[in-house]
Amino acid sequence: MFTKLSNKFTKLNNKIETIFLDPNSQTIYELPENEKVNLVLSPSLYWVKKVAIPVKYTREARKLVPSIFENIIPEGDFNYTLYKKGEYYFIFAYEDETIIEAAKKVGIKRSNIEYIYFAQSEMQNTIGAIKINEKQSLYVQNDIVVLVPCCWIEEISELDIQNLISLSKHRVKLKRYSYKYTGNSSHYKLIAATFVLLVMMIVQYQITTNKTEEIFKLKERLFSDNNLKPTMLQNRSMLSKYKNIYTKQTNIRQYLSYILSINLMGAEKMSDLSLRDKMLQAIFINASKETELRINKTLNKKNISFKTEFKNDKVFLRIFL
Amino acid sequence: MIRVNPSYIGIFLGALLILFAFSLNQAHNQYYEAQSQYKESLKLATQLKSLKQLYSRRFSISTRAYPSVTKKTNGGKTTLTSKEITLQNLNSLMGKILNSTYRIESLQIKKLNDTKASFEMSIK
Repeated sequence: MFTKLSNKFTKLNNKIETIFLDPNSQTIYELPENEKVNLVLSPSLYWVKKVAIPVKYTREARKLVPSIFENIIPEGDFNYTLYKKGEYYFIFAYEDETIIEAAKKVGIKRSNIEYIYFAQSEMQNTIGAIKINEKQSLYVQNDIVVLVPCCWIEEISELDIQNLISLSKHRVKLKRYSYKYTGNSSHYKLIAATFVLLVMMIVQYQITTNKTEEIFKLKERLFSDNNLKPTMLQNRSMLSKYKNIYTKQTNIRQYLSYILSINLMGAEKMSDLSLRDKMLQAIFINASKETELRINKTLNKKNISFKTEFKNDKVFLRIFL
Repeated sequence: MIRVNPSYIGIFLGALLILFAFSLNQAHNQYYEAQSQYKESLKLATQLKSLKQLYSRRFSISTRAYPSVTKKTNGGKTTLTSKEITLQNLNSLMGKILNSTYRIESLQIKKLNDTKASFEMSIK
């Protein structure tokens, strides 16, 4: 049985309804999406123990709670909370999933739930038994709110929670994420897909690294097979040197062929041919100004750097390499 | 039982994914760089090898057919000299040298008369 309670006592919660959540209730609620409710849990939805813990602070006791419940509660995804009353601690174990499932059965969505309260903290001052459904009643025994069959106790009052309950500060909030609530299948699919992607990336990384190493090995072999210098700078310098040699030697042969192709007339003759450093020189004897002009005309077509000089019937031709 | 928020796992995997994407990108860059360097090295090695082969040849033309020509070799340098060589022989010898890939360092031909000339050539 679910009982709607109007919380008239807490300023903070004065607009929020309180519902007693009992998994054996047949009542179905139709709450708007944005309406918030506080839930008071039936003892069947949590585990409670009253214990004396020899520690000074609650935060120290909090760490011990899971171990106190060990081997008492079944295996599950439990959350723990506690509060101190007098010399004793009341410690609780509860499952978000169980609460969400029970709420869902009666039409309360997770998004409707504001705070969770325990019958233990809210109803421990109850006198006598309170009927919560057709078969069960709440009863306080040794400071613990327990469920008892209706027939056990003769004097049973109906649940008039409005008069009995003033909501305490001992409340909890559902965890923001619960595996069932968030839809584990989609999460797992996403995680699995990300994991597969990661594995693929790792494999790809390994393949790429191996390929790079292979290239480095090939490069090393290339260097040793061709007797290359250790650095590319040295090798580039050497290549540049050989290219210069190639250019110079090609030019020497080319320019010699140009000189030999010059048309000489009458008594004109080439008497000297020399190559020194970067200059090729030819001397033509029995020459005239006309010879110089003819030489210039011939070589101008070749697009090369040269100079001619006419002196004492001689034409000096200098071609620069 | 330790509860782990699925979002945390998602964030962790996402962060790992970003990290690996970054590493993979770096590995790819390294690979392309290595490939490019290898191609450059291969090109350079091919050019260098062929040029070395061209210009590292020792002078091997026999001068027996040219009795007036004296050949001197000093280290890697060969000097050919002739005080008097016929133009026919000079033409033949020059043809052989110029059609090969010897490195001509210097040359001096001086015509003595219509049939003869003096000749000096340095080849490396």
